Amino acid sequence: MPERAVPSAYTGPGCPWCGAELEADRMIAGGQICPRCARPFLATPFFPPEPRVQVEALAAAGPEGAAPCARHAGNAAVANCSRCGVFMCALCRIEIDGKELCPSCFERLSAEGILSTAQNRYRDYRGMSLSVGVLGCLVYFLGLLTGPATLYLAYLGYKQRKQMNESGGIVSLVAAILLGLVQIGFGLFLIFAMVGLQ
Amino acid sequence: MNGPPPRTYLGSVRSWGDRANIYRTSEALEVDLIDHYEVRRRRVFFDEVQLVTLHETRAAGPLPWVYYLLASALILPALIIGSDSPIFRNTLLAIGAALVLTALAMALSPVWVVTAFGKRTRAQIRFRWREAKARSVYADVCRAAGEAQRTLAGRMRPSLEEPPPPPSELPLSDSDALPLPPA
Repeated sequence: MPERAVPSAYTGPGCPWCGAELEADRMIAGGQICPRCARPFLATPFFPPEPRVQVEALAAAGPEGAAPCARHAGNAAVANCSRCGVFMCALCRIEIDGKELCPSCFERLSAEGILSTAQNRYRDYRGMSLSVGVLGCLVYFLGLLTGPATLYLAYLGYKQRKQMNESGGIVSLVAAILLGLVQIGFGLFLIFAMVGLQ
Repeated sequence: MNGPPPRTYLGSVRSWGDRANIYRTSEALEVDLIDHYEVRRRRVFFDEVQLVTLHETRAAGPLPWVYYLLASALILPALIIGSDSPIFRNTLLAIGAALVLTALAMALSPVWVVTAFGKRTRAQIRFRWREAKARSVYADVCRAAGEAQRTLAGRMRPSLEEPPPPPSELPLSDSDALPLPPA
């Protein structure tokens, strides 16, 4: 699939009307007027703290101190990788899905699709099942093909919904299942009608 | 291995080319951008939120135009049929008129938009007609962002050395003070 055009880079908080950059750190919570388009909006600014990682040097740990990090020999290790067991310092430690992973294991597991939190691309099976369901009703004479396809895609959508621990979105799946059943029913009706005519 | 955190559907944003569904989890707003049945997910973490806004607009979006097109597809054949089949013609006209009225109502309806700006991306949720729901989501996002950032700030604050405990008895005057030990 060809890569799509890269959208414009995100530049930070802006006016929700015209996108003009705003100095959020100078704003006071409440009604605002955009300095560029002069349109009103309600806003609440926040000042998120900059996350800092405290890394202990190996020398500071003392003669009976911690083991060295596998990647950064000068840093004291603070944890073991849950997958490969290697020692890792605070810079290397990645906490995800209840595990502590080293960068190599994180890359490998996220490439294999095992880390659900790291997944950021997947198929929209729910949308596909609805589309096949609607289109299948237009080509109703192929109901015995499109109907099972609709049901299978709806099943994949349901499984995906459970994997993502999602609440809501069941109406579209139910609609797709009903459309699939209607298509199968109509396909069977056509077959019986043709057999009956003969 | 722990599964993903539970997520709740908040709303969606539709454009001509794609649509985005927005979900809320315990630690972020998740934006699922759906383009040709492929979903790309972005997250706006609550501890990275810099600004949350709420405004009202009348942007119609693509759906009213889709309804207009559907109505045209029904009304034009109905006019061509003419009086050959009045029941069928009237049915098509009735459905077409309903679609046109729906499109007009959607085009004129107010849309409330909640936008959360993070450090790397933003999440926008639209609510047609539902001002109370939009305000509720706005307040919820502000509260979640405040709590997450307070928690993060608390974790990052360096631990202070505990001060020495105060003496159990304090002398009332110098004459009550205990004598100094011999040198």
